Amino acid sequence: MGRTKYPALAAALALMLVLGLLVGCGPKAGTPGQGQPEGAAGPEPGGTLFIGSLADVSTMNGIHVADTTSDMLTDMVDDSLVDVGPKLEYTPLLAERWETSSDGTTWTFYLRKNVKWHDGHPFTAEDVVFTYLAILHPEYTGVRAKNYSCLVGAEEYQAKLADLQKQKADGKLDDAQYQAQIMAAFEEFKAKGSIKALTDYAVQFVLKEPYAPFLDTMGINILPAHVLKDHMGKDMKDQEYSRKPIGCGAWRFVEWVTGERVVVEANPDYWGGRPYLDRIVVKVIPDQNTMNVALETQEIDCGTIIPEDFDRFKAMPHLNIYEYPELSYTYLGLNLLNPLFQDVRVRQAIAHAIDRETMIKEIFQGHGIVAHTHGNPICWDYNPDVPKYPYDPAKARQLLSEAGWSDPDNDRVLEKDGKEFAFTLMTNAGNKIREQAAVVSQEQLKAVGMKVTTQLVEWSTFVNKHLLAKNFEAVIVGWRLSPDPDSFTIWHSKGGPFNFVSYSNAQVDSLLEQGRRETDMEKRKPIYAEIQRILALEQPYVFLYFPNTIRGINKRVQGPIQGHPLDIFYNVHQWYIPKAQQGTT
Amino acid sequence: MRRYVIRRLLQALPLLVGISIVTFCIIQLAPGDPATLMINPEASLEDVRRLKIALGLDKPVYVQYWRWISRVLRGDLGTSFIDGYPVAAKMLQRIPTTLQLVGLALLVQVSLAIPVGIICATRQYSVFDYAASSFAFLGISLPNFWFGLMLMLLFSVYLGILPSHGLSTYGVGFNLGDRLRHLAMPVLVMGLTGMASFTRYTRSSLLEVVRQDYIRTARAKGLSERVVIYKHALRNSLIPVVTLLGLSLPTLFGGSLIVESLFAIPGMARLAVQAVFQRDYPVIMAVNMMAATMVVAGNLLADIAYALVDPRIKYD
Repeated sequence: MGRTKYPALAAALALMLVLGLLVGCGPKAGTPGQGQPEGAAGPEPGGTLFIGSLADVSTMNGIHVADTTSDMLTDMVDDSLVDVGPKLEYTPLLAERWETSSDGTTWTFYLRKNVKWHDGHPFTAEDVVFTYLAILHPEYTGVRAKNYSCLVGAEEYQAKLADLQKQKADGKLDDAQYQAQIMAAFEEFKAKGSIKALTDYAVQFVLKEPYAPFLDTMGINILPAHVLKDHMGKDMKDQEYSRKPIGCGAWRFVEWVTGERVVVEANPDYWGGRPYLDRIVVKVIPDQNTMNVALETQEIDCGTIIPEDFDRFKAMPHLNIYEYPELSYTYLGLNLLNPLFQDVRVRQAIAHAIDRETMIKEIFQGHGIVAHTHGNPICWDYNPDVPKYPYDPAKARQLLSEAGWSDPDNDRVLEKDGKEFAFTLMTNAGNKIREQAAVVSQEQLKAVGMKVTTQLVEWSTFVNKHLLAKNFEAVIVGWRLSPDPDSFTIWHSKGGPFNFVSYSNAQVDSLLEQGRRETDMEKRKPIYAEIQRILALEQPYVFLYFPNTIRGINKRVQGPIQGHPLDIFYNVHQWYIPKAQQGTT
Repeated sequence: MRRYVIRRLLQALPLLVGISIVTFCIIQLAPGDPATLMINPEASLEDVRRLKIALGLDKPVYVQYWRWISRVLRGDLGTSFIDGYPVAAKMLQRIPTTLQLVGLALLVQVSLAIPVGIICATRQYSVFDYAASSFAFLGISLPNFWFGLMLMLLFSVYLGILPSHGLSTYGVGFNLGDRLRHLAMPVLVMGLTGMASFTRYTRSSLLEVVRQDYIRTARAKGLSERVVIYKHALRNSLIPVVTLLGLSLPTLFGGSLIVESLFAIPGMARLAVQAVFQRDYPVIMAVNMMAATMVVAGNLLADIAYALVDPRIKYD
């Protein structure tokens, strides 16, 4: 039940199940067999829960997961060392507890002893070491290797791999030489001992310096070494395991019929106790309209609801509605290499010119909140006290005129040094919400004298040829955030390709570096608060909004149902359906 | 005839190879590749490069093509880049579903369209003819998704007699009644919206045939109108309809994306479109090659059927 995080460019969002945090929590029950919600008859075992999902699973291998549906299901079938609770706090899961050395570089995780894989094999430290080494394997085909650069020896090892890749690309190494050298580099890295089993139930990680977001990387679902040990490397993803996993979580995998459904059943031997429900069926329903019908006709118990349909579903007597902000935001990114946007007053003027409240009302029927900065209101690091730019076209015009823009020929388009204020605003085609946001922005910027052309580009072209190539003037796109506030890769001047707006601020750089090194949450708080303040002031992006996630859940489903910034199903093993209603749906 | 078929089959081979080369190049030319899908702040360029090496995407296109075609000729369609499923297994899962859906839809189309076409032709300019023609055009112009949603609203939400989506009720196990209940709405949508062309073909072709001299002769002999139409005219008038059937073979495998998505039916069309979006090269290639084969086979079958139903046509 670990949560693997990946603040992804949120374009694929339209296809994903969106997970989030509940505003106003439900009753909280203990572990199965203990607490029970007030006023209910009490949890009863049995029944099948039907979940509607817009997307199919793509892999059930925890280290390769890169989409929310796969994440949700691997979290049911598997467990990780550390879990993330509904308030984004780290909680023990397969690791009963952990400790760090006084210098903050050695982390030791003590594992539960009574855990068994679904095939009966005991879970030990060997599985943990295997899983993390598999991520660092030179032929690992997932995206998480860089998360572990903080381990002793990892950075050098990864640099070496990158160098070998380059030599291979240049034709200096043939396939066999390349293979031999990457494996030699891997052996050398392993010999450093930065990941090792101290006993069967204790694992140690050695970091080269204190690195706060490290616990964030302990949310990887552990793989069974005894099943996969001969497949560490590039053929791991293609193993049958990815389609028929053997986990150690509360739910045992039953079947995956591609494009149709995935079924899991209660694991009677789960270390946390058997879940109440007998089975969970995740039905793939790619069309939102059909999902609506299925939720209404009670063919599914849980489904996502789009804002337009909120009022209709709210009125349905058989549904409970949960609404909570997503851990992702949408922004209007400005290419700071473009002279047009280099003056901070111009960026602030754009922020003043766009009426974000109305945008949210128009696009989400009000089911969202205005973003003023990078920080998410759900997160502990959120700084509400940042400069804000409410809708004020007069102020926008004033800022623009201070920046030297005027309209001498009265054609309602601003000019400076004979050049018009004109730019192209790009977003990815097919994402209706962003398309609408682009059109609204275009109209509102026109009102203050900017000539904006909108352009829709297919997603992979958009990312490759425009974003990563820095070949754009302005874009509307989004970030899905990880629970840890570290946003080094987005804002640091040497953060890499994802700082595609080319933001560079020495103070932010140094704060980001400090924030990574500081492990005390209380001391990190002011660091991230300051980063948020500077970003809000400088508007390298014009931050637009955090959308809300809305879910409908059939009232027959009871228990401590409570939103979660990453996954509302995080405690589904505590949900139940009263006996009398187990046959319905 | 046999020689003709063999010659056509031999001609098809270089054609398919040519199609495969063109398709392979086109999907490579399209910007973005599977590695792009991993884009997120935690993914590094090394991740992308490593994945490319693992998938063989770092090699020049002709090497990649050579690897692909030599595997395919050995009967191995490769594995999906996205979920690691063998491509052949993926397609085998989807083909029966699509065949059921599109096969039934075609059955509905033909079994409704031909009688309607006959009535329209024999009662040309009657109320029924106008009504059927209007209905046919309505069918063509109704958007599939809207019609499907309306059916769903009626049968699933208001009447509650048909399931809104999927292929089977979970936990019931396969049974014919359940499957038909699930397929009823999708088949109706595809059947009704697709029957227009068959109706019009039958009607116009029959109208043409009944003006022929031999029909006048048949009537002059004093044969009943029933015998004239069904025995003498209809068989000849169905020749173009048979051709149309042959040409719709590719559709039979391609399925209908909109209907499959709307009714959550995991068929070929959804597989194909998803593969394109995810740049899942092995799947795209396999689906395209199957489609190409179907087009070639459909054309050939149409030609053969032509010769079979029309003795005037002979191939050699």
